[in-house]
Amino acid sequence: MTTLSSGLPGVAALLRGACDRRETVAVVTEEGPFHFRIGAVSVSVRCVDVEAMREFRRLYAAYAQDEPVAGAIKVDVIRTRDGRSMRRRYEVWGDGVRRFTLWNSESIAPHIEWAINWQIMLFLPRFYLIHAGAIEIDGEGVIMPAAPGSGKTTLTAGLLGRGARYLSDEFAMIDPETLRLHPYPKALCIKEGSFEVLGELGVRASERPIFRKGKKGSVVLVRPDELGGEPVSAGCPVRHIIFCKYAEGTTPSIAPVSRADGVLRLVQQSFTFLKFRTLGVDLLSNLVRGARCYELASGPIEETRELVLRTVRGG
Amino acid sequence: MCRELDGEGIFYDVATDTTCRLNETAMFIWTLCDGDHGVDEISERLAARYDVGAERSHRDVRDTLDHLGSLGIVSSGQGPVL
Repeated sequence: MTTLSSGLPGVAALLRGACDRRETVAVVTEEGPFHFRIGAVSVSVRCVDVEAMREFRRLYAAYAQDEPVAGAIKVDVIRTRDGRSMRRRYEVWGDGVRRFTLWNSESIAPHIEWAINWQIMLFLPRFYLIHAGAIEIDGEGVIMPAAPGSGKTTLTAGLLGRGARYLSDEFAMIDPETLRLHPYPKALCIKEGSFEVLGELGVRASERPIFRKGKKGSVVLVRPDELGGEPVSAGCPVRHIIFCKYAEGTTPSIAPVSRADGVLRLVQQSFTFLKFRTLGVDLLSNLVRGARCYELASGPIEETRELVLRTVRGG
Repeated sequence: MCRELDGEGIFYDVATDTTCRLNETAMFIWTLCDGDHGVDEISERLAARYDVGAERSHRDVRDTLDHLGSLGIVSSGQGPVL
């Protein structure tokens, strides 16, 4: 560089110019970055595996943006090699932090989504987050908090085919100021145990990519519009809180629970309670004051969703 | 902190990050733990409110106060008169 700048200043200036131009030209290839506004969540995704990137873009085509959104979550999937075995692997990074290491490309798409969820939980301070399915029925927000494996995604999927509008199958995103429910209409992640139910809802798992998603096992990702014709909800007040539990062979039943019990259960299913603490108790107390709380024992999807619809509609 | 909801209570202890729910009876007892009421008086009020016998009321109050004490929600001494 010394030789160039002292002996050939013109060349040095030319090189500097080339570097400057490279920094300002956004290069978009099939690997991305691609930008999305998924309800209240903005993301930019870049993925070295073109097939996985295509699948993700197919799932989120309705939310594609031409330009990056300020403050968007950034997910990068890169290809590396294991230091010892030199075996090829993929790393999924969220906002500059490695979140997952994968040994094959087949499981990338759900892990991109998982990385987004992770970043939402950690770094989306605008919302209070509850682990719940969230839908809108007749203008009223219904959240269905549940522990993992309780069937909330399956029930959410079932209700979409019966007039419910979708908000999320993972997070109830509550605005702390207004207590309104905001949408995060991600693709529904259906586990293998619910593939048969999914078939009853008109979507055949065997006709779409099946992914491995860690301990969850095999999953398929389903766009909400594949399950129901209603547009995604733009947000609504929470009027019904239904705590779900699934047990095979159970006859579906639903029973009211007290609002105080509701708050306690919501705390247990909150991702962000420790960020809010006393404010969280106030927020949840105010939330349940405007809602009715129930405990649902889920069973067969057809009977369960009819029971939920009757309850919400006051039948 | 405590928040009342339909007669029941939600307690949150910031120090231990513990949340618990008090049913209506426990909440009624807790509201009387203000330093001015002893166990006997709380028991009398509980018996009158829920129409139960004095012995059962006294036992329930004792059990509840023991439980609330174990959770750190009430204490004898400077706080309520136990």
